[in-house]
Amino acid sequence: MIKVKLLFTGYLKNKYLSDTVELNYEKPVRVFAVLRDAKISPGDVWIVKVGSSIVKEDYLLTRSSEVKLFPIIGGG
Amino acid sequence: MPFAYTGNILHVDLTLKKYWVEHPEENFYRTYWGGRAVGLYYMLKEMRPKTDPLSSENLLIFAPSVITGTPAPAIPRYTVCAKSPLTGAQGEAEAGGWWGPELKKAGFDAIIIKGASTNPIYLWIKDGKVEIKDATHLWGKETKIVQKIIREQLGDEKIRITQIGPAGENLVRFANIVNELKHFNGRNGLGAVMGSKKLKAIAVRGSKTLKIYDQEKVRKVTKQITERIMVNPLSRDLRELGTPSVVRSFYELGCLSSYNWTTGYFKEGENLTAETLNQTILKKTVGCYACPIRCKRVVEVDESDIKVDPLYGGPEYETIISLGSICGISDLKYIAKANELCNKYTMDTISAGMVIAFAMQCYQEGLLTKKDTEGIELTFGNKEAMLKMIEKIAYRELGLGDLLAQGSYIAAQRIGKGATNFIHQVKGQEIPMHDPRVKTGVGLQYALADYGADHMKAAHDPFFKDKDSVGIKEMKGLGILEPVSPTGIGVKKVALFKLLDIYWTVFDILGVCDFGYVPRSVGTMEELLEIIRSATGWRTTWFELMKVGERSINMAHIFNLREGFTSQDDTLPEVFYQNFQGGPLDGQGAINREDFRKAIRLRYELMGWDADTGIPSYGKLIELGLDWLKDEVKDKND
Repeated sequence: MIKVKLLFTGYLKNKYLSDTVELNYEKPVRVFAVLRDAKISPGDVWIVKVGSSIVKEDYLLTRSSEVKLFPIIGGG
Repeated sequence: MPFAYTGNILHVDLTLKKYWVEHPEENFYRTYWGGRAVGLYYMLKEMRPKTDPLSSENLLIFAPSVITGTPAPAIPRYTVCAKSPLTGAQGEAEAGGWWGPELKKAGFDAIIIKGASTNPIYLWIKDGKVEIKDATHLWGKETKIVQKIIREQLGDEKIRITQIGPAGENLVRFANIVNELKHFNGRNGLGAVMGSKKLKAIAVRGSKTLKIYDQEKVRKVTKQITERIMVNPLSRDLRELGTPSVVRSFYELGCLSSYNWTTGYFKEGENLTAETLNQTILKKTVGCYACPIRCKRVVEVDESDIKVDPLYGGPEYETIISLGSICGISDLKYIAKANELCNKYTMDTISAGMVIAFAMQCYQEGLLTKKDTEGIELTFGNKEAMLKMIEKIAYRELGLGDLLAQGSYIAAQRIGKGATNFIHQVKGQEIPMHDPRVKTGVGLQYALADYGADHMKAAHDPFFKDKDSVGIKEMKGLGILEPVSPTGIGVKKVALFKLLDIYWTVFDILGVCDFGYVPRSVGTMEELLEIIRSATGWRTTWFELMKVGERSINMAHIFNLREGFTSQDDTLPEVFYQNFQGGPLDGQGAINREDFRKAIRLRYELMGWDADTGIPSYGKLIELGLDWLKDEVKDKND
């Protein structure tokens, strides 16, 4: 069993009304599939971080992981 | 009968102590609309090339727009224009707050100031009447005191005042202009131009109501935008966390500008986040005229060793980084204090932080000594030293304070010994706190901005990264159909940022806040267009508005060409052609120099400019109704 814990930052918390979402998978899964299953629009997510590494959305999660999602952001 | 604008442009000659009012035709307003476009019109018509920015020959222009003062959301802004003493280029800076709308209610669409007074003065404008008043008693005073005195003397607490503090009077090249103590025309050193004219303040008060073509339609669109702003996650984020909301992402990603840009990794980044600010020093949030977002922070510190006055607002993202991690400082209370000092003296916090960080690196590398700093241990992380340096710069204390008041570009030339390796600027203006290595479109804008590196010259890349991103979903009406990678620098990125540059230039001209409308917020392009149409009665289109934006970009570009700027000035600081050092992005990120140069050349071509020289073609000038500028490019195109 692979447990994937999505951690929201910034306005993603407001949009998805939660700080975290947890999903379980029987086999390795790519980040974009997790986003799809959690009903998170890739259009809202700028950067994905697994552990201390920045990864692309096709990154394969092979074991239980915390996946931190950073929102699209602009200037100011 | 004009709707939404007054039809009056005030001209003031401070040398002659005279003023008069111009009444341009409707077509003038429909060609230039306001802000930088109006400013550049007068700068190109009336200012001689190579004018000394701090001489009486420089113009100083305050320009809201035809729709400023309309009671619609997030349209409070106005522009100040002049030739910049920091860059020697076309200078401009926009500010929110309340002053712009009040000027309109007082009866004027813009103020064009020329000449210089020999003694300190301020302008008092009330319902179409103008007085040039003595300001000897205000000269040398901080902004809070000046605001209080003027309001007491004129007997009206609701007077709106734009002014300079001691840094402007002392001609610090990055002095800014403030209204209501906390809303800034921040960049380009326009406060020094005001100081050179001995113009301490402009106080305005108006009781006139702007005539709106279709008040009910404006009210209806305002209501629908406001309702969405209150619940939309992006707008909520701005209201609850303000611009510092982006600190967390940059810190955790390792692209938080730190230690004078030597790394993007700042170990104490958590101390600088919006969440920490909210939990420690936030007092309240405030907003600008007719804006429901209320993104501005007001902070207060009242401790035995440090106090921060809430009247001066609070630090924005740019300030937290430029007076924080860029200087190696992670104490929000000291950053807030530094912000307060810059605000009361009227100094741009980005440039102030950057020149201090530059000096810190020079000190650590042995280019400056304790003798130069008069005993100050000017090392990264020394927060007391930072506060002392702000004072020295604002008052141009002999030695390092006076040197750094010239900006980092001039200071580095004078220090020599390789100090230019430690400055990060475009056209002489210190770069803002967004790293182009993770947002290459921002880098294009840094390089191309006529007034030097600026982070508000176009919406940022992440809004266009995916087909479901807000920029792609909401801006198809401009022909923006396909997503582009935030870190790519290919032809689609270049084409996208040509449009985004023009789009936000339209915002600047109209006084529209970027935080009110797509892609940064919820007001749609259609709603903004409806507001403009309903306010003015003009059946305008986005086609016409984009031409207005493009026209002003060409005007600014021509202004710079005649000042001697060339395509060689449209470049990035060296640091962005290198990989990140340390943190999650270690060893990655360098922008390919050749790809970037190709991107600049392509952008010139897309603008109708020569790919090598960046000089606009005669045809482009005709297309934009700028044939009156053809002689400015004739010799260069031959």
